Amino acid sequence: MLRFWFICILIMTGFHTVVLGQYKIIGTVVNTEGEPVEHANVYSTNADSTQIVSYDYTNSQGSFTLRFPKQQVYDVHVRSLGYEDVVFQISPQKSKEPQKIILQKKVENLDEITIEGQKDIVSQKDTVWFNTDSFTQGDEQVVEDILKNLPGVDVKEEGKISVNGEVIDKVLIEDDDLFGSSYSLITKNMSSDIIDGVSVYKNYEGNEALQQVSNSDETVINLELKEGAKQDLFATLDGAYDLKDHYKGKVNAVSVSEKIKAYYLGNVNNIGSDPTGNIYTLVNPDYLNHSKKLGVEAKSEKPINASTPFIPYLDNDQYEINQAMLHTIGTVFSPSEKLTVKALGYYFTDTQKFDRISVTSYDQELGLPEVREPRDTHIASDAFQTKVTANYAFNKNQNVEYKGSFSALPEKFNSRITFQDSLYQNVTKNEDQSFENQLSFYSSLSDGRAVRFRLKNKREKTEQSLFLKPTLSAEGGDFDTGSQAITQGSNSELYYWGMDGKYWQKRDHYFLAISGGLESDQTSLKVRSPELVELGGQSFWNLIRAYLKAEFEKEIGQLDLKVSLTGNQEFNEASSTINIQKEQFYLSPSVEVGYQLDDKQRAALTYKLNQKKPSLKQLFSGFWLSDYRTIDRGTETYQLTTGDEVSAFYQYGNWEDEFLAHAFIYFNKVDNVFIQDRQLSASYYNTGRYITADDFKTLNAGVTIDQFLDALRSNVKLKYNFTKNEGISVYNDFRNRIESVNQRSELSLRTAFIGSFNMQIGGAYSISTTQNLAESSVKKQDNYSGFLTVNSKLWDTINATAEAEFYSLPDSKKYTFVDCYLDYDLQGNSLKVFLEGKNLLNNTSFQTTYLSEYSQLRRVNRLNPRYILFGISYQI
Amino acid sequence: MHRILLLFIVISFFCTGYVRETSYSEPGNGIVEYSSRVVLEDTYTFTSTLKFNRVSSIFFWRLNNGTKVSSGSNGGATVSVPLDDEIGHVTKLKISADSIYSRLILDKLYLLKEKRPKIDWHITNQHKKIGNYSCTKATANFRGRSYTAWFTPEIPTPFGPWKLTGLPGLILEAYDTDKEIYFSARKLVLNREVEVEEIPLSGKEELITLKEYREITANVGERLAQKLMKAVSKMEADIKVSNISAPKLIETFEEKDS
Repeated sequence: MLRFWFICILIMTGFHTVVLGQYKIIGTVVNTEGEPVEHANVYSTNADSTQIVSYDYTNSQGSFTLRFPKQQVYDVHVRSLGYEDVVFQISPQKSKEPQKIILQKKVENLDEITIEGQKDIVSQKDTVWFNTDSFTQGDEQVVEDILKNLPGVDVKEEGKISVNGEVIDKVLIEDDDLFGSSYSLITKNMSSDIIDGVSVYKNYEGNEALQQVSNSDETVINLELKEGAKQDLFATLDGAYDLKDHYKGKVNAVSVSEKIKAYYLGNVNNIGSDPTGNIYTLVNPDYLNHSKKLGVEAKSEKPINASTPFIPYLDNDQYEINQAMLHTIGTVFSPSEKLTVKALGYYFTDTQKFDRISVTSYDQELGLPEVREPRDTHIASDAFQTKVTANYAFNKNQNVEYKGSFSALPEKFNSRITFQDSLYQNVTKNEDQSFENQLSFYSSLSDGRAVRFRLKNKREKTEQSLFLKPTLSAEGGDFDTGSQAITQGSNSELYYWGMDGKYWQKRDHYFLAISGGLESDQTSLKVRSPELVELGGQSFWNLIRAYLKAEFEKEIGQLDLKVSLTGNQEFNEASSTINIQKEQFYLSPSVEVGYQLDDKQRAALTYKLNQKKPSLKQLFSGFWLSDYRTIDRGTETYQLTTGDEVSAFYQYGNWEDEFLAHAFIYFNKVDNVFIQDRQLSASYYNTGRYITADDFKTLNAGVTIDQFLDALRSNVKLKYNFTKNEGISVYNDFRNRIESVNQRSELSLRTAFIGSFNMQIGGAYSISTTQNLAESSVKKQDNYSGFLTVNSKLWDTINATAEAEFYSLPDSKKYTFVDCYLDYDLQGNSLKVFLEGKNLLNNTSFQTTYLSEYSQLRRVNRLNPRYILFGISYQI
Repeated sequence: MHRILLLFIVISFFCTGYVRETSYSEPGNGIVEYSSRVVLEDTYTFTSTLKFNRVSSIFFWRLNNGTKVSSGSNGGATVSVPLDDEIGHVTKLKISADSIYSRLILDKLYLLKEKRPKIDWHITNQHKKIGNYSCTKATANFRGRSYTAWFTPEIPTPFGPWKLTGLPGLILEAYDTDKEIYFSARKLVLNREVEVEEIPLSGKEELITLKEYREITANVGERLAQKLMKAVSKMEADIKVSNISAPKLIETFEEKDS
């Protein structure tokens, strides 16, 4: 019987232990006088996360007990109002003795702290939070529409976002970096109804092991979802159609559970709306940068730069006829507290059609006739990309991360061009594929130190083919093959691998980072044309680079100094036709001096010595067709281009103030630069060379002012930008000094988003001047534009918006566009019907003018005709 | 007997209150204004107020709509059931006594005394910012509803709106699954001058225990019907009262609830 009771007691004890936790610590909280602190909050979190595991309040003796489910290291937080917080680490098994925690009285006076929960903007250290309710007026459809309304935030047509002048790299959802640089997929497709708040994180560091030591200057945006959207399944469906076969549809689905978050974003339309912003920058964020890059930014090259036509001022949907479909799936899976897997995949298929007529008139001195080119272009593209990130955290201080991505972008460009009364057909096909891997190990050491070791590799392949028929009449040109079609094929490959290590050390007043690595970059380019044997050739360039970089930062009173120096040793091997330096060593220094005048004012001055390498295409020894009437060839001479870059920055105020201003000046001087020879001949012409020009200077300056008006609860925004480019351009061996100046001023006023009537009004004025100082020719043009958006909320259920845009462009061209939007709530926000009208005044064409050193280009684009869509929006 | 008990409680309130307020006029006092919404038969939106010091809190909420009309389906007889009065609904938590007192307005006025309910909160790893404060999400089932609360460990008090308490930080936002009960902090002042007063009483409150309260809530429909019949009988008209459905309540009890 005794044994029975003994077993019962054992079971009961075990049960009790299981229920209440196997391990516990007890302790007492006292103040500096040794008196117990009653009702202090004592709670513990896992050492590698913020998950609260156990908590208790002290009793009248100041005693507490914490119970833990398992044996590991925990952070224990002790907090009591009026006292400084205490945080310490503990291992329950090793800490069986009662803990005594002494709280210091807080020096600061808490008496008058008042926090308004509903402020429009809350700024705290590195985080700025926007209450989106204060910046929306009801006609917003996607995230981008909300962001455009926020003070200090700019969104470009292709989806690039900048915050207070700084381009952001990521948009997080609920603090998860899932989309990375592909964030336009979220901002252009996620419904604005799902968003509860928007935050801007400055100095963002995504890796937990580096958070205490990193000197990241990255700025990111975080989107908070509405509570209602964070459930097993939440979906929004939007569809609209008119009687002329125009349609658009959008699906958002969100599923949030403890271990899995999943997002689906789908978009289909034929009204010219690009749900990716720009597929090229989406697949390759470095798309617009043509200089030679190493590492994950390295890319293979293709001879023909075929891209989507772009019209300044107008939105895509005003001039593009398309059929687009996008499917995006993203998921964050956390099977355990240590492992997080993020996966993103999207498939985009699009056909686009553009009609335009270009008229080029040359400076009289050149004696060239006016060239008129009607051109209609069809583009069919399919893009697929998948990205996976897996992070395994051994603990709070150490983690290993794998990043992999694969992308494929097949495209076909088909243009019909009339050139000097002859009709030509130009078909260009691209097949781009890229496969990239990166494995990193991060470890945070004691005393504010951390290290990272990384392995990277990338393989990229680009095949391109050109079909041109009939060939151009080569008035004065080298190639005349009658009416026979010309074909050209090219094959470009890149294979990269690299390894590097970085060490960080952060102290109260200084920061030090040392990194070094070794990388190899093998590129090759092959071009051939069966019909024109003069065309073609092949080149390769293998590069091995070893580098060592030191970064140092120090605060001296209100001054902060940042210095960095990189030593590069390169070993080159290239085709015999390329005149390349086999070995070279060069230094890349940069210095930044910042001055924090007070809480509101900061100024900084930066200097960098830029050293850029030419791309393989710029060195390629063979000839290739780069467009339907030009032939190009590289310089065959390798030369490092060096340049000085100086920038200055000044900011006054901050987001919570009613006044925010920032000003910048950027100056870049390049001693020698590769400039593609300007093709001026109105014929098929063998340029066959690149030239080196000296003394190329760029000056860019701008001011942005945001003034909040209390009476209107509104923002007035003023922007001014000045750009001056100056340099040597060579034409037919004559060196000409070219100077171009652009100035643009913008003023906009946005009303309060309160009450039943809101409006936005704004205007912009631009003036451009281009001078050829050798010829004393000056070209000048100016234009102005304005917009007015009126929004009215009627009876809580009807929301009506009308938008008018006005442009006055060169050649006395004036255009007015009117769009409208009307929605009616049938069931709260869960079911809406809407009408969307575009181009109500039915403009059919739009003419723009471009100035260059020797010519002026007028381009007339066909516009999409008027349409009115009827749509339904439904939330599940 | 109830009146004597009530008197005793009121006196003891004042005594302990005096002692406590004197002892705890130090950092740790604060006041929170919550934007609030309660959806019963009708929707009420109003501002509620929580005052707290280190050892106690008091929560005031008044349904600004004033009265709600319940009516029999025949004869058009109506009875006004006061859902609010000048004092309103009040809940006071005293940690040292481990008890909660609630001034209730149901079919009549009550003062409920109950042991501080132990809410079994599940603390999640989800966080968000409310104002300047980092908040952590916790969930629990409490008296017939599933609640979500966002609390901030940065203000280390266990208090929150209504009876939602016991977390390692002040609750700044709380709501049930259907968002029929919703409290969202709009203003927070930490100020040692904030006074946690006693529940103001009109003298008409009937002191009840939790057991009695459970019976009242279980039969509240019947009680309203009786009240309606009483009103009808005074009218000397031939009207029958039937099928008064029980109104929705903020809290309901099952056998296991305490």
